[in-house]
Amino acid sequence: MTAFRRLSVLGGIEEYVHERNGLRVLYCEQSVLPVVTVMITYLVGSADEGPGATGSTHFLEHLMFKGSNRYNAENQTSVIDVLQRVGAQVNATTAKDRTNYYATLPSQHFALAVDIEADRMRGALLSPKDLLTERTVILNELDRAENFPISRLYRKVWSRAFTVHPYHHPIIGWKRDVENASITGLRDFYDRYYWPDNAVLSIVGRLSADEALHVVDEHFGSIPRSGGAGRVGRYPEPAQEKERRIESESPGYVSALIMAYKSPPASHEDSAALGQLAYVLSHGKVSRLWRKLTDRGLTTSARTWSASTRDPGLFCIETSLVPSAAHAEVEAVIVAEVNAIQQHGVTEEETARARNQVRAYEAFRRDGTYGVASALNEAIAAGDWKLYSTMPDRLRAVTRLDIQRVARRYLRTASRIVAWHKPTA
Amino acid sequence: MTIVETVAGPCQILLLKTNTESVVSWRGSFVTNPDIVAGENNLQVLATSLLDKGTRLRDRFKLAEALELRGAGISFWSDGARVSLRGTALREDVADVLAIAAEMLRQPLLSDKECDKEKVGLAAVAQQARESTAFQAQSALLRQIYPQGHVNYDRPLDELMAWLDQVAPSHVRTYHARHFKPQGMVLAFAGDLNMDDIAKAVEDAFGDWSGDEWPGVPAVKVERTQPASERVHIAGKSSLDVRLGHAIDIVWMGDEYLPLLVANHVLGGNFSARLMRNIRGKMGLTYGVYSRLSGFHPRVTGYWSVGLTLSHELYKAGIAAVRDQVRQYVEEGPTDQEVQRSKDAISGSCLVGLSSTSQLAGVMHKYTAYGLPVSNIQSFPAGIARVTAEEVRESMASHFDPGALHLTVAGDMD
Repeated sequence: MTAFRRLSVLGGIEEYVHERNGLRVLYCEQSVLPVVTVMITYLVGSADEGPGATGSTHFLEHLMFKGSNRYNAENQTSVIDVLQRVGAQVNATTAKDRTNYYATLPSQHFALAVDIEADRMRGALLSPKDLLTERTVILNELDRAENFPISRLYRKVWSRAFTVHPYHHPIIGWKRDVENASITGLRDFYDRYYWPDNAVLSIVGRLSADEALHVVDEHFGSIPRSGGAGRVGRYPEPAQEKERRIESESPGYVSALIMAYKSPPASHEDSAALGQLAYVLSHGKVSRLWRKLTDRGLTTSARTWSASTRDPGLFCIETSLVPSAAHAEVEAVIVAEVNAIQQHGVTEEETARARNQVRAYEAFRRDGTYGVASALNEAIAAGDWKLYSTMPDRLRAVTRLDIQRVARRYLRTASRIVAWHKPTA
Repeated sequence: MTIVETVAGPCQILLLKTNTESVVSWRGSFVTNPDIVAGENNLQVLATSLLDKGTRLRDRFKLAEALELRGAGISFWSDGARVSLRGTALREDVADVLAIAAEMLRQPLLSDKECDKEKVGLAAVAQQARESTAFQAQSALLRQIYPQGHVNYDRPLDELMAWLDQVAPSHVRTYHARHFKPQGMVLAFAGDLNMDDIAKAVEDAFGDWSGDEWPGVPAVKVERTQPASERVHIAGKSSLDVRLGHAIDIVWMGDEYLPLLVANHVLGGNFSARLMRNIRGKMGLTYGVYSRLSGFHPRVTGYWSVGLTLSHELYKAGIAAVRDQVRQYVEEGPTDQEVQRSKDAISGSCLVGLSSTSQLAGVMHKYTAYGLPVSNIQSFPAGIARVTAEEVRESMASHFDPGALHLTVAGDMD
């Protein structure tokens, strides 16, 4: 425990930092069953990639499973083999602002999960042979995503919304960059970002803080700090001056419409009110868009969500249309509802309902070790893990005037991207 | 882990208190026994989807408002011979939410207008499913394996659309009146609960609901058919979904079930199983490949399948590699070490798979609804530990036949 200094305690989460190498640890005790989730979040995402190197973060995530100094297939100790043998649920994901690796496993095997993360933090093998096999795996993953018209439409929306900022390119990367990725480039990327002072280790489950920190120090304690290379700067996105429109078609039957508005970073004070606005618009069968679109038989679904990003992102309204519905009609309904909120605000009942839904949602997502670790991971990526603890109160404090104010401020015609997807015969 | 079993009204209930703060989850079901040959399973889907579209006591918006004001969620779905429900609510709201669930199940409005709207919605969803490669490949496989009328058979989308065109709201109301009764009803709760309060809430909500004597699900056995292949063309798709599979002549948790579960796990049960290790890890042919045992019930035999996605250029090589791996595995059998690894993985994942209240409620419900003791939750790992490598090899030799695999592919076949 002496290797760590406690920085803060908030909402049941304890934050520690390793005195020598800067690794931060978030600890939360949960004791439904003797199970623990170990999740390491690296502060690097697809938005940290340069031109020609898109997809590097995701490619590296794949290669991190192909072997490290002590955990590799040659020793018959590959990460997946060793963890799944004890029943762990194991995976990793890449997002715009972070990469995470996690295992949920019986608490008695906690040290194993920590040892693996410590070993591959600086000891990944990154072999050229693995690059070749993993490239075709990733190309298949890319093809799979392209099968879904709504995934393709989102890719186009983000690319069109961000012309300079790296949120422009897809997390998986452009196909040509994936095809040209080199082991040298990926090694450079790894050496820049995979260090203890660029990572946060979240531990949620049934074990004591003392025990957890002791094990973490034992395995991570000897890894030095980074040389300070750190993140490269991101170009800020210039203000959008007028509406941008996308129309796409493909053979099939899916008909969709996405309306996206430029939104502030997740850590911004307005993000809570935007979250409530999303609830009012389309959460549940009393929401405005469900009543006006789905209940009236124009769409099969309507959902609204605000991207949780470190830099300004997107507030998205996504609908799937029934075959007979016209895109223009659905768009007009959405615009009318947005205008109505901007002009007349929302009702006290809508605000109260959204507040209660959020309160319940916050309790539900803390049910289970993975749920807590996953929510922490998103808050870390947004720039401040404390958002995990403070967001429920911030959401509860939102008033109907706040919702109207953010609707006016962010849901502006000039800053929106409207995307239609139509099926062809 | 102390699970309390009791009866409240027509329901068998299971209760597990955990130290999860504020949250209670539940899972339940009752037997409806639709006549599948007569298409009643589709009537059941339609009736179930109309439960939240208003009751005789309040319209659909007031119903939704009552739930959403509490931030609670309830969902219902058609589940073969049963209708299932699940819910999550804050502790103080559980009784109210159960009362709403009972109102939706027992007194749905099922109006002509809502039924017609729901038909349009279901038709649109079916239309969208036409271009899902995963759905089409899986659906085609189920039609290869099962005869029409079997609970696991999947009707083609064209037939479903035609059926939606002709079904009348009165058919739905009749089906609901005849089949939505608490036969074999089970409700399992886990979370921050007070056991007496839950039992009283169930009694209040369902106590005066009665049903017929339940004769039990009839035993259904499916003969293996000649292997066939089917290709579903979906224009413009960049990736193909592939399924291979055949029927299996054993039932869920029967004598041979656990050895066969281990046998399948060695082949394709997780990331480190043979299929992922070789076809993805060594050959780089696919993003994902798995094998599964599915569709089993204590009285209904299930099926074994392999699924994967492939890019067009690796299509032939990918399918050939899967067939090679399966054939080699069945010929050689698993090593003792592989069997031990899979047993350890299954036992460990059993514990990990119970780490939330909804997962706990789900497993408690499944054992009880299927007529097995809920103590199986605790004894399952020991059952897996007792499986021997010899039993695994024998079971596999009896039930896995690479030469009998049906093949279905969905995607752009041009």
